[in-house]
Amino acid sequence: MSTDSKFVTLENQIFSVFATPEWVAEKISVHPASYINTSKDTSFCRLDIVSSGKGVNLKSVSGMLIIDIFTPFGVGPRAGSVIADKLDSYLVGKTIVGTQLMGSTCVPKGPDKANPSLLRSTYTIAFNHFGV
Amino acid sequence: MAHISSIGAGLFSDLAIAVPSTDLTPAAIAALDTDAEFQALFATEILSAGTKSTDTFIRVQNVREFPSMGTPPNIVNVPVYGSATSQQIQGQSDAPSIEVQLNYVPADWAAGSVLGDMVGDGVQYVFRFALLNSEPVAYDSNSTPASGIGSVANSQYYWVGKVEALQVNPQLTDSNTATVTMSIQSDFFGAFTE
Repeated sequence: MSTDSKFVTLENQIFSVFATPEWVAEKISVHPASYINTSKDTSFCRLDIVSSGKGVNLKSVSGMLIIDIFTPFGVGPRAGSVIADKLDSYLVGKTIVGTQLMGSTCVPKGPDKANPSLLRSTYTIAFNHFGV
Repeated sequence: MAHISSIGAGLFSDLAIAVPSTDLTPAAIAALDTDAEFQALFATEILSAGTKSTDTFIRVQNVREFPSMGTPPNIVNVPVYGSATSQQIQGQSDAPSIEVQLNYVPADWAAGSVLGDMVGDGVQYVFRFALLNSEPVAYDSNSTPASGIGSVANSQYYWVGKVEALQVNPQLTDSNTATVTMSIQSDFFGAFTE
């Protein structure tokens, strides 16, 4: 059995959500974890796909999406919660081709160490990627 | 849409009961055998506090755990003279009953409500179990599948039975649960889709 491109397929499916016109209209950019944001956005997200769990077969994998939500520090923690709710509406319970997304959590983490002018909240959601 | 064609979790699987304004007669129930006939009974969803009408149905919500759906096997071993192994034949299965675990919301099952009055009333109803991996726009069957349960891949199973009992399981720390027991008085029909 071939397991070719399991992780790339998963990544493409997850990022496809943030390429939809509906999400683009939300005006909250979502960058890959290794991406250095050079834009002047003060509210943005950083997405990391942690494929740490076993799947039901060799082509499947489970894990967590970890999305760091950055908002201006002075605005208050609710700004992060509002973005987390928006993420919920696009992710929780959704099926993206062969990837199912489950329940979510959101944890305020305080000022960002790299840029204290930003407040960071960490949104996580479990996923199961099913390959056939 | 079509049947579910990939591996996945049935996150949005649903149990529903047809509640027409007039209970179906035994003759009408006996005549049901096609997907169109069953699906026509599930045209309009009502809430437990709602009013029964033509082709209305009600969903059993907050299900915590579904049992196996289908007729259980009853394999009978038959000795065969001169053979090292016996043979197996399909015997007549015991009539199954279905127990569904719910996160209990008393208002849904209150006396006077559609679901509450259904418990132990001795009336035969048509049940629908829909296997759903994605959330549909709505749970009704209608002529425009994209606006109902047919908006996502779905597999549907139908049967006739009764709601026999509701047992509430109070929990001191977890959510309260209830066990709904249903008897099954027909074959399972399906899997259908729309």
